[in-house]
Amino acid sequence: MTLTADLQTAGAETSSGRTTTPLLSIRNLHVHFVTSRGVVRAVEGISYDVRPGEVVAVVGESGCGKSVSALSVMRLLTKPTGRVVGGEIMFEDRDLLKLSEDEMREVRGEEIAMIFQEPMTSLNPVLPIGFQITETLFMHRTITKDKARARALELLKLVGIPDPERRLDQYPHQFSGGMRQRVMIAIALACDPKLIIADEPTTALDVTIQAQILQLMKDLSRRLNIAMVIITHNLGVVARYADRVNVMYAAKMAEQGTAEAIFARPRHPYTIGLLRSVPRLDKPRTSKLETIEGLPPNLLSPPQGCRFAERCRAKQDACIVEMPPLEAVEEGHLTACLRAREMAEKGFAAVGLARPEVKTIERKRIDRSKPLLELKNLKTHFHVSRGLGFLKGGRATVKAVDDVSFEVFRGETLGLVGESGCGKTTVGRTILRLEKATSGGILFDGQDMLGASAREMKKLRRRVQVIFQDPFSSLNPRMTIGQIIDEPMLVYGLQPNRKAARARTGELLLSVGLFDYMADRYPHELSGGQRQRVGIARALALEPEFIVCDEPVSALDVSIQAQIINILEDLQEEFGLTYLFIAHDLAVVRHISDRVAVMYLGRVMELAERDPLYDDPQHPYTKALLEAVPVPDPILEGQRSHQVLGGEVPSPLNPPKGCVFHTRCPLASEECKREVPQFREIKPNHYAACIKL
Amino acid sequence: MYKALVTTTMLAGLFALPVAATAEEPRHGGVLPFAVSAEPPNYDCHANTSFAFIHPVRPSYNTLLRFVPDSYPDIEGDLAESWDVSDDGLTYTFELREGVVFHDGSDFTSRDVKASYDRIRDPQDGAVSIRAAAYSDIESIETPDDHTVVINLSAPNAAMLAQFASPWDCIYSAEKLEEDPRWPERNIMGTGPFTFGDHVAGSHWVGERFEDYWDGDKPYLDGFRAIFTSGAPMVNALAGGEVLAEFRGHSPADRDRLVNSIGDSAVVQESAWACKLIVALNTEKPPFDDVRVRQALSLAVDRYAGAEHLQRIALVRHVGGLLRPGYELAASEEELEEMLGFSRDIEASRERARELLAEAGQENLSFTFVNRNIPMPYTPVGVFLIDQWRHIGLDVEHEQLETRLYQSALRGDDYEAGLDFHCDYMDEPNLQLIKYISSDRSTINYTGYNNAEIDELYERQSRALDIEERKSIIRDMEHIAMEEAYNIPTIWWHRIIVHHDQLRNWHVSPSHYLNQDLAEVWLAE
Amino acid sequence: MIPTLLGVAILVFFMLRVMPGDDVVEMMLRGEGADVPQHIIEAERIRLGLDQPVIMQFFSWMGGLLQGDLGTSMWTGRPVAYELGIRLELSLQVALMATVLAILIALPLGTLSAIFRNTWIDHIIRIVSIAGLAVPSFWLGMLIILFLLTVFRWIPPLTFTPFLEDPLKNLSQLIWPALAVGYRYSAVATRMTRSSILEVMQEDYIRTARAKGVYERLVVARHGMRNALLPVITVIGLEFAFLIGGLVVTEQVFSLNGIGRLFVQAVARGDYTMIQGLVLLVAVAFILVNFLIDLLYAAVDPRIRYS
Repeated sequence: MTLTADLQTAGAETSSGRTTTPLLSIRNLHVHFVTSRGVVRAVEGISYDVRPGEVVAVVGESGCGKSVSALSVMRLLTKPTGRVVGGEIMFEDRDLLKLSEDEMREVRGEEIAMIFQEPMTSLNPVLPIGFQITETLFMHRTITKDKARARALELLKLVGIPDPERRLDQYPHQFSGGMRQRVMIAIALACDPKLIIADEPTTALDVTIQAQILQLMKDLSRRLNIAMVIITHNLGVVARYADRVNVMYAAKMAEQGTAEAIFARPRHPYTIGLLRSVPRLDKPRTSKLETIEGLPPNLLSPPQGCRFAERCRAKQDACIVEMPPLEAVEEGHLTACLRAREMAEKGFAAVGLARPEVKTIERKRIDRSKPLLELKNLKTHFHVSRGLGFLKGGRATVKAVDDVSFEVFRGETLGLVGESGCGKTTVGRTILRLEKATSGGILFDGQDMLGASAREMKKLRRRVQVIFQDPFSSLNPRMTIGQIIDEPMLVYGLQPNRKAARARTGELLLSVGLFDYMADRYPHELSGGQRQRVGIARALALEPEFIVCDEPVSALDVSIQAQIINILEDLQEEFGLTYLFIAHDLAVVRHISDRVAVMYLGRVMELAERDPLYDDPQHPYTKALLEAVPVPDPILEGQRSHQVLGGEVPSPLNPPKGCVFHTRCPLASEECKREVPQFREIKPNHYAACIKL
Repeated sequence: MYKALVTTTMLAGLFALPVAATAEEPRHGGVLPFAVSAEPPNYDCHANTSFAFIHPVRPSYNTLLRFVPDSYPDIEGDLAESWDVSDDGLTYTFELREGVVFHDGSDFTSRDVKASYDRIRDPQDGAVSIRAAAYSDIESIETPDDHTVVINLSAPNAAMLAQFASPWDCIYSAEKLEEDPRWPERNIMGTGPFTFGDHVAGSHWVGERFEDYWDGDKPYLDGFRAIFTSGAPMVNALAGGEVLAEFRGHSPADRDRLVNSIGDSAVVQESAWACKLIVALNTEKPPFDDVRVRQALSLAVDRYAGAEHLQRIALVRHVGGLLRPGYELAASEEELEEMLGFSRDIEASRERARELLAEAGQENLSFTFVNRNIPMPYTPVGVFLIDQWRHIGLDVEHEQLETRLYQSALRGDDYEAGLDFHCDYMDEPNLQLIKYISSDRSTINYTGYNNAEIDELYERQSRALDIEERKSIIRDMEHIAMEEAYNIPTIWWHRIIVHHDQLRNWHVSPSHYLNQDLAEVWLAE
Repeated sequence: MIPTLLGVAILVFFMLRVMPGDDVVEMMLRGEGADVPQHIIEAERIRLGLDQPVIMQFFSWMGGLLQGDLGTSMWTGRPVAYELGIRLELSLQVALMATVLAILIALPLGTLSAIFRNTWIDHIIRIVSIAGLAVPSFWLGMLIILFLLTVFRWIPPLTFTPFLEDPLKNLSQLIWPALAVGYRYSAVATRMTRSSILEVMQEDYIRTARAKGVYERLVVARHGMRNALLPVITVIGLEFAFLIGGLVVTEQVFSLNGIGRLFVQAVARGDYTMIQGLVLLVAVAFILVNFLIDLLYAAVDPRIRYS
């Protein structure tokens, strides 16, 4: 069966069985980026269809070509480096690649609209929102100013922005991230497009907001019968919203089919690996995460055979030689794996993809008599000035951390979760004394950290280390990996000389899964995951007892994320480390933590052992958070009620009186507005701050 | 009337070809724009010392006498119609012109002369007269009638008559001085050919024709515009014709550039200049307290060769002693060659210099030579001197300082050697020799050197009314000064003026303080 | 603002007094090498109050300052405020013209350079702007004058004509120094505009604008340039320091009777009160320019306006 013939059969039917001609049909698309180091083959021969009114997902890790294929549709590749070198993009009856620049301009915004990943940077900061919405109208329609404004108003109402009349004249910075993404959607909808391409539309948003936005997009697409292409790395999002899924790996299409088929019967080892490496909220945490070892191939010189072969546990000799074609394994379900049929017939284990032995982790024995770290009524407030220059209006106080108390015991991992701005990172920074505490106390191993002298602090710093979120900006680009890891050891005199330090660095690099020869490389020569391993090695160099992990995996791709989490777990076991694990991803926190604290607007809302917290959340906020997280299982998602938590996180400059959550809480009553709820033990070892419990 | 150019005349870079020596009828009208490369702090003649003051202010005043513009150092009456000096040299009687009026219309009388000279010799009520000492021989001033002034001296003074022609001795209105002795500091009101028009600080000065000027149909100009600009912009302005002249002097390089760019209508007037560069040695600081070292420094300098070469690049040209060569009281060439350091046999001089240094035990002497950081003529002369001293094995460091630091260094007692300068409005020994009298008595002898014999000779020459007698006293003094070598004369300046041909009847003189009343100057079409 | 000025005042006052060199009286009376008796010098010192202890001089100066009196020039005896006043218009005009010229040159050139990045247009513009950084303004000024002189046998008028009196004459005098100073200014701004636009054109909202189907030239003009302006404004503000430095020498070269030339003269004369007044003026000018830049920021960037 030829590739095209196969696709045509696949394209003839939808999951629901309706037969329609595709709205968008990408055929055998090839995109190259010409760089100084050579030609990057960013997209190689991918094809997919989008039918009217359908939601199609393109899934893959960063660099796989999913965004590039979308930008190619809009013909918005960066010039002159990016160019489409082959294939066609049929939109209705036109090949978009053959349109003139001006004809293409007319298609953009009018027939195909696009929503981008970063709502914070995708809107022009110096133009009012209203103008940015109506601009699309003026570009494509002959319309009066008043009518355009009326339409903009209507659109803002449609995307659920309160007080739209006033907001039209405001600027992007006056909107929260979620609201900006709503504005982006309003802009996309302005000219009633037939297709919206959404490139990671919710990645930058908090879970509760993500849920709101995705719900809105799905509703609108249904109501207005707009087809959508959602490009994402988040399998949960795919499961919840997509009709059909395309999985891309290293510029190639790996697998495509209905969402139901992909999740229930994945037939490509990469898809299988992806699904297994994500920590799941819907399944008990029994074992370590399964990882996909290694890195995606370099697209400057991709391997001849299957792109995934190098990392594939089902690899055969043929895989290295031959690029497997995309073939149907069942109706409407195509995969590019030589062993797909074998897999379908004999199961995963037969091809070597059995789940590794389920190694039940023994429950850690933790001595709860004496905490290693103790926070007592910690407050960290920031003073910010408003206004400009010497016209400063006055000062305001941001209560980033407001009365937070908890304990961390030796050998355990305390997870600290919350949405952005909840103060979780400030807690970490205050412990590290990178921020000045306003009041309260921090005791480390019984020693007062806030009152520590410079000399005492130097000793403490060795025992308390940190791993940062962004592995790139936290490594000095002008130092080699070796120098970066040597330096603290020499500063603290842990190694007698540079040679000894370098030997130790080699050991450390090995222990985080790197190679000792990498000591001579510079950070930019490493991948994101490798850099994060370096960050961990650096933290380990001082033989600390306690490590603050500040969003250590959130910048990483799913498969890499799993690797890092596993390393952290191994190291904890090996060295008896204690972690404060700060993250926004509830599933990741659940996976790694022994106990979990949930923060909201500078306060801890709930704190408990992991399983009680996830299985039986007490606080309404925790409940809402867990509810908002999409689960990578379309069937399960279909059954969930999707009670989306409304509203936004209030500004920390002006937090609500009483319970800070009362503005969004479904249980809130009058007294919640008056009284700051006591953080108390609801059940044994299960604490929450809510008067309704 | 004819046009006489004092020393040299050049037209458009071609030497010779003097300007038509035929008499020309002066033309009335026109405003003369000229450049002044500095700006006076205030308007008081008696309290100023700079040419920057003379050039814009002098045209508004008259003096009792003045130097004849085209035949320096001859003297003629300005406000005085005639004068008489008694045989004992003690009584000077001036008959004043009648019908002279001040710019405010008031009549000029002998009272004004008396009031002005009283202010010069003995200023009262905070008025400043810088040159008072030069007039200390005046005992009394009488005004027998409105147009006669009698000045009585306590002792004869050979310089006195010429001093009454000083461009600084502006005659003020007695009435104004009575009102406020400091009135002239802020106001200009004289009897001169031009009234004060405007002064925009930092920019320019405007003089307007005084319609009631006493001297016939003079001045010829409708006015003048003195523009304060210096350095390269000044030369550019002259080249571009924005100004027609600058009356201080140009370097040879600027002269050539100007002649080149102005072309046919460039007029060059040159003259020896009553300005000198002197090596001042701090005699209070060893080894300069040793006369042998000082003499060696003088002997090492080949002034003749220096003058010949330096005149091409710097505004110096003439080899002379204490007085300007060419001046009637100056040493003749033969006399000069007899003096220490002026021998034509430079090799012998340098040999002697080395011997002297050896005797003093200073063969490898090294010192710092303070100089002014003004390129013309200080830098080339400084470099020249240091090179000359290198010939006798000395290692000299050239330290060029900004004027404020340079002056304070010379006036201080910490410097070792420096290049000093001295200019005055005439060659008169009473003025020129002040540099050489004892440091105790002269504020401009920075060497710390005192010598009663020299001071006595100075005193005697100033009282000597007979020229030959005066000459011989001065020679004696000159010999001692040369032998003592505390202030060592090097090379005298040479004044080069380039102006546009349109400017007529202006004459160069050995002083840039003279010939600036602009009464006779006129502009051709 | 007040503490800054006070600091500047104290610093300049005492720094001047510890600097070596003749004082103003010596310069005025003995500057030409004249034989002036010491008692006259002393009398003048007393008249100018220079005989007082430095601290007393300071307080009497500060006393005047608090009442808005900058004192009298020790050289001319006229009020410092008057001396500054008559020169301010010229310097202000040159500074303004240089700035306007720089902006007029920089924005289009920088934008062109960015749009036609790595083409010959970009190369030429970059050569021109790098030359602007390399060429000192006074040297460029001399070249301009020599060019005018040799080619047109003309030099700009020497004395200042206010713009309102005779605009043509005024411009014919001041355009050249403005050019000499503004060239460097424009070079810096051109480079900043170029890199700023290049950077902005990579921004997500530019992609958004294109995805909306906005015409490319509007993408550059409406979405690109306005955002690119902020760093350019910053640079223009910072470069104002160089502008004043440039004025000091350029006013010499063009023989302009402005603040810059007065500065040089006052320092050469040891005119303390004048130097003090000038330094304060420059400090005030700096503060004002920075304030203006802040206001401009607010005008261009709503994020600043509303925060």
